[in-house]
Amino acid sequence: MIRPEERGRTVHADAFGVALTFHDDDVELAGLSLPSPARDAAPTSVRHDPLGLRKRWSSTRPTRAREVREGEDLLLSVDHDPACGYLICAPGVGKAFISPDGLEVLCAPEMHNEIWQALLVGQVLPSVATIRGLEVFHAAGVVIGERSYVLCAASGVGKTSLAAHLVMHGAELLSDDAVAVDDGLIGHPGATVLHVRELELRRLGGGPLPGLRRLGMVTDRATFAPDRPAAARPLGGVYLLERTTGAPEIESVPDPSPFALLGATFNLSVRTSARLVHQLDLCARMAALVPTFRVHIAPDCSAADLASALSAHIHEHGAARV
Amino acid sequence: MTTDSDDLLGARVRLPQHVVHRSFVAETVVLNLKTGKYHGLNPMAGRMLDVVEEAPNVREAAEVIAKEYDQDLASVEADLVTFCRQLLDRELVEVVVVDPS
Repeated sequence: MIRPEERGRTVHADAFGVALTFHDDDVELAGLSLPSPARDAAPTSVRHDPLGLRKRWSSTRPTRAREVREGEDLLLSVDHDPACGYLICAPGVGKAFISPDGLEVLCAPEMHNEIWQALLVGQVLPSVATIRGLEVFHAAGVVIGERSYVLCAASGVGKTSLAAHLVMHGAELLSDDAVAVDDGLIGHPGATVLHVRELELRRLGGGPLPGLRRLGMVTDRATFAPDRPAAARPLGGVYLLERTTGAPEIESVPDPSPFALLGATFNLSVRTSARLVHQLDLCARMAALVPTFRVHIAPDCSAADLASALSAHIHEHGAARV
Repeated sequence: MTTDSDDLLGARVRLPQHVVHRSFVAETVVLNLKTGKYHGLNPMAGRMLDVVEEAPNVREAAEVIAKEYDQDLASVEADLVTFCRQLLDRELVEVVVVDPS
């Protein structure tokens, strides 16, 4: 596993295209990349500081930017105060404050385990990246032949299974759920770990998986680290995955609808004017410059078969890369 | 707000500061920053928006469109008034009051 670079009590790492400094000597975040030596921008400071969080958030007049519920139960909320910043809260798991410029994160975990880390890496850091000017897509991402490929799909379509099989075909993993893209159309890794559901795990046979090492379980998912995590690479293509009842097919989309890309955003909470305009501009540039394909997934198509077809397609269309 | 067709035809319509738009190959996306909502326009509607934004009033915009697409002026005027009303309802354009003097 690539671990963040440790320097005394601080830990330096990259995630979603943002340099991070963790001021916490027991931080252990699987799947974050080594810090990029070429990065000029100031790192975002991530600190365990429940008292500081309370102080910074106490005088705010926030509005609710997002809520995720399961029935009556609140699973996740995001509050925003333009003058103060954002507060991401998962009851029973913890809270994180993000400053308006995304340079500071104060954490108040209610549990110190993989579930808190999943919140930090899966929700807090993508929000930091968005605030700091990257666009994070709800997508799996792989690198093949020095280019990154973004596989956009709604939850449940099979991004993680597809990414797992692509890795077993030799691809490098960017992320199984969220990929950041910068203004230069570079795809950046998030957490380069796979969270595989039990059902898919059974389909994978239960034995050792080529290119993947099992780390443990987070809730109902097994976590795997790839032997070859990917570094940031220029985008080579966007694949829009859709379940269909018809024949499986990968078709070129010469004039992709902007809404296909806008709708693939990972972040629905950061709604400042600057972000919305930036999101529109980046999606317009991607639509114009990055080859886009629609993948129709038939009900009987396995993740292994889809990965084979996609891998072949990426190699075949390599000449059309940006 | 101007609602009468004749008034609207004689009015100048422009995008307010809280609205931005970007042209894609097959679509124009209009973003209302007040509501955070994106709106899609097909190529014809995108062209109508461009012309309306540049013209001194909606009537002259209709003349440009009618000529460009070789269509009857009266029907283009009616279409353009309907289009502008829909944009006004969504606060995507605003009517500029022109001083008659």
